[in-house]
Amino acid sequence: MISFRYKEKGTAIHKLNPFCKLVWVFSIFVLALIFNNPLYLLLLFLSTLPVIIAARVWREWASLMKFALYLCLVIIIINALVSYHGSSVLWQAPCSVPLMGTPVITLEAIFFGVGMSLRLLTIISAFAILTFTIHPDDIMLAMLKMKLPYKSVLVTSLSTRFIPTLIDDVERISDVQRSRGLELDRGKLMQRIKSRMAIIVPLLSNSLDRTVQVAEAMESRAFGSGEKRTFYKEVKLSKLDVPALIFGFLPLALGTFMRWWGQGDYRYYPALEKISLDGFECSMLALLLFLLCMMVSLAFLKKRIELD
Amino acid sequence: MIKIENFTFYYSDAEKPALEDINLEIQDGEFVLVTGPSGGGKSSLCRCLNGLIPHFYGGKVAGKVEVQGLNVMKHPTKEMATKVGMIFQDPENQLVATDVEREIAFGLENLAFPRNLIAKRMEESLDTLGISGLRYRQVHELSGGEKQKVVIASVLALHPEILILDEPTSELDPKSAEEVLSIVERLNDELGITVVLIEHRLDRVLQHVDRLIVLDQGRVVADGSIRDILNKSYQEITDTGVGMPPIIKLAHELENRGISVNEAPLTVKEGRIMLKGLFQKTPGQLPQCNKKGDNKPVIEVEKLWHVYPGGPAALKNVSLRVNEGEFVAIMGRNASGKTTLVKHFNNLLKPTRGMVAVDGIDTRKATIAELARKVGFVFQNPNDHLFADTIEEEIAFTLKNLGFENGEIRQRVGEILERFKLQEYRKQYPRSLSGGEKQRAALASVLVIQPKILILDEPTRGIEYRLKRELMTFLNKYTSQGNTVILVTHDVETVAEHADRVILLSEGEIVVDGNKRDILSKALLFSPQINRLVQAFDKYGVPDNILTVDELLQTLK
Amino acid sequence: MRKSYLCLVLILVIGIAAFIIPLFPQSPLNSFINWGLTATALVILAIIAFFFEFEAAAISSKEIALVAMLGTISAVSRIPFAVIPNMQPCTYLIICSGYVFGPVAGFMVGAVTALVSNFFLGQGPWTPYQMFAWGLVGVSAAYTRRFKPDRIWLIIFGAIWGYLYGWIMNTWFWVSFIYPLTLRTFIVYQLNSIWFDTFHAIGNAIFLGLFGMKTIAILERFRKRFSWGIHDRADLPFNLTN
Repeated sequence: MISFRYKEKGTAIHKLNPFCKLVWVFSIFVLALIFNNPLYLLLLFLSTLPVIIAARVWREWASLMKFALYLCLVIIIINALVSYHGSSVLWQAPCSVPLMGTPVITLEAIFFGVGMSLRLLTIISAFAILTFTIHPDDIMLAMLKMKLPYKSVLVTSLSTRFIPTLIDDVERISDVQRSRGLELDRGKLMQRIKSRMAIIVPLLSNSLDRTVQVAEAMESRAFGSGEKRTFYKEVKLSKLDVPALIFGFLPLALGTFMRWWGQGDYRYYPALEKISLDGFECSMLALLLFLLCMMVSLAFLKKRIELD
Repeated sequence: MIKIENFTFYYSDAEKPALEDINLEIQDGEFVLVTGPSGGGKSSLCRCLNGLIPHFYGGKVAGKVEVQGLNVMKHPTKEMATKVGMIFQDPENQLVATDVEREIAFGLENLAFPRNLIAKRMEESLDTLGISGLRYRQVHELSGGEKQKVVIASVLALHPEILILDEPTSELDPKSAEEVLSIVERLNDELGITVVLIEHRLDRVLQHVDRLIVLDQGRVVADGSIRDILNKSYQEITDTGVGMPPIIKLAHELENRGISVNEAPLTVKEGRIMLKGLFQKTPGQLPQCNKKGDNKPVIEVEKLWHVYPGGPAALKNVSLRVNEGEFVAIMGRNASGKTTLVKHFNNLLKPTRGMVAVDGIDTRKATIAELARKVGFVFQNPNDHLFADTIEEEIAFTLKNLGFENGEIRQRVGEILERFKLQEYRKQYPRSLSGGEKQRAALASVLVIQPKILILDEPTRGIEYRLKRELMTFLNKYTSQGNTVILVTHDVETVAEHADRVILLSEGEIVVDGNKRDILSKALLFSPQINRLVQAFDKYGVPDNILTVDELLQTLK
Repeated sequence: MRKSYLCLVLILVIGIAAFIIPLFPQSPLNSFINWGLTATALVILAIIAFFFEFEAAAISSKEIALVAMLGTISAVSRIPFAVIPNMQPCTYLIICSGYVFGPVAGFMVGAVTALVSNFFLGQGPWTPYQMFAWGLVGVSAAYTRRFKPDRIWLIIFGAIWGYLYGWIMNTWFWVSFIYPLTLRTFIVYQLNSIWFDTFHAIGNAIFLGLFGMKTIAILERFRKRFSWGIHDRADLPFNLTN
């Protein structure tokens, strides 16, 4: 019924080292936040699509996008309502509203909203790759590799370990209580919440009993023996992972440079700027996109080589 | 070597000691079975061997525990881990990693083993347990038996010299239990690991062990080599509430009748040897069967199919009829569809195809709550039932759900508390009760509606003999009042003694359905011990459908 | 130096820089100050600081198992309530956990709830904010213990967190996607989610009002049971302290 959003699909992207993907997602995330220019944002968004397609998660991605589009709508509407900096007034409210002054809707504000929506779509699309193609265990290994404290990682991994167990518990307990005539969906809101407590309370008490046993089992297997511990599993970088990792970082470096150079900025207010790129800017942008797409190519190359 | 001297232990807030003046010595390589009633001190004893008592639990201690030359009082559990491996009851709560490899590596990582050594140890322990196939699996996909094997492998990876198992099979089905126990036996036999096994059921393990220790109320009641002690201390052991396997009971009864039995038989084969001389003299007579087949039907199932979403069919074309006053046992392997079938009887599941009628009502047209007045459903773990602040409220909850009047609720709760001897606890927090009381409370919370049909899913799994007998006596009485009891179980001995009819499911289909005497006798796997014993003697005219000790003794008269 | 202090210093530096740089519009750094990034960096640093705090606290297998299990319970307890829109027991369970087991455990329970449930619901840029917001719920609940709140105060506390949680979650959206960043636009953005937050607040109030005390009692009972001390006893010859 409920499972990880991650599904093993065995595609080149799934097989890629989690670090490469994490770095790549991080790069896109930062780039999407530092660029303002809608053209840049659109291209960034498009550059996530090959990965989505290569990982065969477009169905999951589409359902996520539905949710994202709703957020976009909110962003556009709110920007349109709150920003008075635009010059092309489309509509002006007949009277003033508390907090808002006299609302004005300007073309620029709407366009700003659209630009920001592209930013949001890019970020959500990039995170979709993280959610759908990296196993939670690998995320935790990566956290360890990044020197995050072990106990916090252990807590997280214990918790993911017990989620399926507790889900079974919930199903069983609700069977028990329903057999005793408990009707979960009868009555008003308060009644419905109250009736669910017959599930939550045994769940809570049972799980606390589990806690004692889990702790005992950990002690019995020498948990906390010394300051040091080793890790059997780790995120290993194979030969092709290293370039993939570099191609995750390069776009970030290049993008930051471009932004510092003044590229990718765009003025929405007071009037929309014309988007014009000179030859240098064009080639830089093309290079950026090329670097972003290298990860997919390397992923395929890696899979190909491993198969041979 | 384990050496316990004058050891006494109190849990932090306890008035009575959990262990009192224990003196024990266990030699290297021994296979020791520790048994006794629940609350007798079995678990406390094993926890003091690796220092969980007192380092984890606190409390008050006196005396000395020395394990492999280490004073346990001075060495906490984590330091004992390479000497003493500990395996608990519920594998679910001992697995701390999401996949099998990580699980086995966990202990070694804690001890800061280098990676190549971890890899070696992992390979070794996976092979020893014969579970290398599970290596890359996720823990939550494994079955209960597989989980327990992974737990054992992960403990074994630390190379313990002593293995302590606290009721390791009580959450498992008989087949997995058998597998786990034979693994343990092999570890003792081939690797020379000292094994201390805690079990309240003796029938599965007797043939493997060297020595038996019986604990009751924190004291050692009996201690000695297995064959001696079963004969000599039979009475002391059964007095503590521990159930003896049928063969031992038989041997004891024979001795009571003046037929001398040299040594207590531990296996069916030894039992046959014991009986050999007897049957040549005595021709048998058939025990009678009671029939209830002509009563009014209360459950009718017609061509029932059930398919879980995304899964294969769990029930395939099942048709059956259960009558008023019947005591039906539903048996079968794991995942054979037993629970799926009974969940249709109170509408927790609806038929994918086909029809189920309960007391004349088509379940497709009723809600669970409507059927709850007629069908009571008791699940295995009483903890899943209990959530209210007092026993009284807990029982009243069921009645309130079904819309009973306050006056009637009070009256019924009073009655049922009396019937289940729970009056003194009526204001107590249900979860603070002992295991047996909890089970009575859970049963009371269901039986307070006086359902015509009572379904119990694995009620005997993991509970001690005394409680089991109490429960079964009650169920027999309940059916004699014209109610129907349906028992889902793996427990052949209980079925042989108490049920009327057996339905055997396999792969979602009914394989056989009929009188227990026909089904349980002459079967290979589903025969009780006594029946397997007499099967060899049919050439002497001994009826081959004897199921229990009492029946066998009758034929001997 | 404790690593959590290192995080705190970094938070301070980034925070101060974020406030000072806009004061010098001519500085080239100014084109780099990016509120969306800054806010995320601060939140992540704060979480890491708490992680290190958790690592440094005297933590045994008991606390680790407990925090993990409480986080799991609050993540899983969403399932039975999935059919009732906007009613989630997470916040109330985190409040009770923090109240009983203290600030560090409270934070960890909150953070784990968010991180782990997002493995099932989808990770996103909102994950750190959720971890942070729920973490703070746990921390603050621990501090209310000092005032021995009764039922009414718990309800009010839960209701306030319904809104505060929404604020924290909205902050990132506000700084990343809205222009200009003024108090007015902040309030308007918050108003946008007011219904959602109100439901959250009502839900918290209902849960805490109906079951807060009971849940706290269950957790307290467990805490007492779980923190077994080793006692001396004069009449027993051996005790562990010598």
